[in-house]
Amino acid sequence: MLCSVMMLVWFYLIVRAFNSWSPMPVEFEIGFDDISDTFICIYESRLPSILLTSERITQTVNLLLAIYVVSLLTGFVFNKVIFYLGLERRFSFLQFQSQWQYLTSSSKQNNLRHSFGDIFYTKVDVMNAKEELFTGRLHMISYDKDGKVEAITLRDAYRFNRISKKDHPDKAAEIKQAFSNKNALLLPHSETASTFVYRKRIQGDLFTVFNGDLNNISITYVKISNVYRRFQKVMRIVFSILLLLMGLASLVYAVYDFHIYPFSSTLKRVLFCILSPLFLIFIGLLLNALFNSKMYKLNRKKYKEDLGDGFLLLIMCALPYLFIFDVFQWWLVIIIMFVYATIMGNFLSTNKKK
Amino acid sequence: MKSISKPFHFVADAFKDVFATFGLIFKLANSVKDIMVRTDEENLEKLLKTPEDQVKFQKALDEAIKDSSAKEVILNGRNVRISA
Repeated sequence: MLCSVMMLVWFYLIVRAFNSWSPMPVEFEIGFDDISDTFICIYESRLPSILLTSERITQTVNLLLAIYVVSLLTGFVFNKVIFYLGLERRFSFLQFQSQWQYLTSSSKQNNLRHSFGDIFYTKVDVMNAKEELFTGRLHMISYDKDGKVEAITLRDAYRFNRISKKDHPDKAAEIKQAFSNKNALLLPHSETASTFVYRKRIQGDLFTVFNGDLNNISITYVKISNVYRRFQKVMRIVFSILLLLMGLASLVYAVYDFHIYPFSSTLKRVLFCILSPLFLIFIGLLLNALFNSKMYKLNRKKYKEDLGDGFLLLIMCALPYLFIFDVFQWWLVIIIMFVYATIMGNFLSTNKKK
Repeated sequence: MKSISKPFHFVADAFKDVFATFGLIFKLANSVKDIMVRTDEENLEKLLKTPEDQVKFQKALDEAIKDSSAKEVILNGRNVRISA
């Protein structure tokens, strides 16, 4: 109920802000008088006036659709922004999954070493009722209808095996010989004078232990850092949010003409909206290739090839703008693109290798 | 015959170049995920592509847990630090 009221208020603020800024205000034929009349009619058990004629029904449906679409888009954008910035792990009021989900994933609240931009995963050691020990990466926790844990699913699961050296000396030596640096099916764990413990990979992608079979569970937060430099972490977030906003603006602009630019036809406006996020993607890829210092140091030839390919493709992506902004006719732009693609094909690094 | 086949080959090569170009555009557009924020699972899958990297990772993790200290290891060409 609270969310519905908040969405209605948010919708009102969005429309009001938009109307104050845009030369083409959005107007709904249903106003406050109609809404209050609806509540009075419901109280008096009469059919509301907004449902009396087909025209009024259409106006009502338009308003409801607009509210739902704004709510959907707002929810999607906020969900993505919270994910990109990792805010759900910092602020409990932004959490939208169950408590177990947040307990079993690293955050500032449960892991002091948690830092922004590093990779975290949860290593889980599970003992079942038969005192068999399994370990793996936590994939999912399943819940029953009452919200209690029903099963725990591991990814890349291993089973611990213990061998007594005194009882099976040959087996211990045989298993040691089977260890390899080229596959992770058998891994050593520990060794004492009398016992030898190793882990054997359980075949399959996922391994599930059900709650009834669960004895205890040990959780370890594994942190993998130095994967990206700070600059790369920030640029990823900036680009992700920029692409999200660009995609949203393009979608809305394709449906509703804000009259930002006087396109000569709806088709050109829609093409502009489809092409612009793609153009942003290619700019992002070109900049990523340009600032790839690691590639520059290791393989300068590949660095120049990546840069060259990115630049050529960016120009290719920009050619349709000649039609969108009325520079050339559509058939001439298609010819230009065909000729450019033919010439460019000889300069692309992938074609050169062939 | 030579005079007929030459333009034909030219047009065929031209179409081949055009398809190669659009194929590369599509492939590069798909690679946009490499420069966006991804989930920890996706990042980990990218880091542990080869079986050799998976073995190195498991061994480094075991040592990090045993010694309660961070271990450095090269995975997928990146020098990363693992701690638990």
